Amino acid sequence: MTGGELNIATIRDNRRPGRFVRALIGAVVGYAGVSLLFRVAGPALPSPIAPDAIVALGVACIYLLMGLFVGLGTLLPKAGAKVLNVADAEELRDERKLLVMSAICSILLGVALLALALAGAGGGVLSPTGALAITGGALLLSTVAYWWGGRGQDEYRRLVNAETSQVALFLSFILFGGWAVLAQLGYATMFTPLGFLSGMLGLVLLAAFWIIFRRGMIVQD
Amino acid sequence: MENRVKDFREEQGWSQGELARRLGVSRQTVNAVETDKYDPSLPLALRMAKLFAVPVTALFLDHWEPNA
Repeated sequence: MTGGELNIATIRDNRRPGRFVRALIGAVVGYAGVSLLFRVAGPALPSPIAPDAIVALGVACIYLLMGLFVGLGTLLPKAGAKVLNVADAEELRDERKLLVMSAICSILLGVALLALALAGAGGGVLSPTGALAITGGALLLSTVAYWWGGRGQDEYRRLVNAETSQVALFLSFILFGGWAVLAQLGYATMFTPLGFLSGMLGLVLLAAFWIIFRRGMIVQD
Repeated sequence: MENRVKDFREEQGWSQGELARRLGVSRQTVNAVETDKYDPSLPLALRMAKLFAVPVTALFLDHWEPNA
């Protein structure tokens, strides 16, 4: 294997769908996933469905799908390399431990948010105790998963994570801080706890994508 | 920072993955260094120099000059 052929930024695999096709597939799968989740979980929610529950279901779905795609793609690297943001199957094999950890944490966060949405503000399909147990368990398991798979992160990945956290915090401050100001002055209704949690998780995703884009980590076709 | 990591890597006939394995970092890190998107830490830069058996200044090019 020669040195020049595996530049992540320039490799072209003609068997890999183009970027637009991959984005389209992602959009279709995302839409289908959210629709399915609403079809399954929607009837369990108090009617009419509160806006914060809609947001929570949407964000939970994104995390669940993300975790499933990354997890399955990592376990099946040849297939995963065609749809995930990696250069080739070898990269998935090299980063297996980290990606599996990431997938587990994503799924657990999605499950936790889903449980909170189903529990509802005043009690829903899921009891508050049940939702608390699921959320607590999910946080505990994701901590264990991070300890198992995240310890070996190298300096670049630690930097990217730190930048993501920084941007997410800044966005949260702007969005929720600004919202709180408006609520304090009577211009808006204060956001709910579920809305806050969903928003935070959504902003973390947004920050992650922004940093990945800014650092040129999107795999070129 | 402008660097010649890719040149030295290709001289050895190594892929980015191979260099990453030898350095104990991810392939993304090697790629980010080679494409000037990331300046490595001092320990990593020193490891790179040791691996290629060259001075750090041969790997990483800095055109800064002190004011007189």
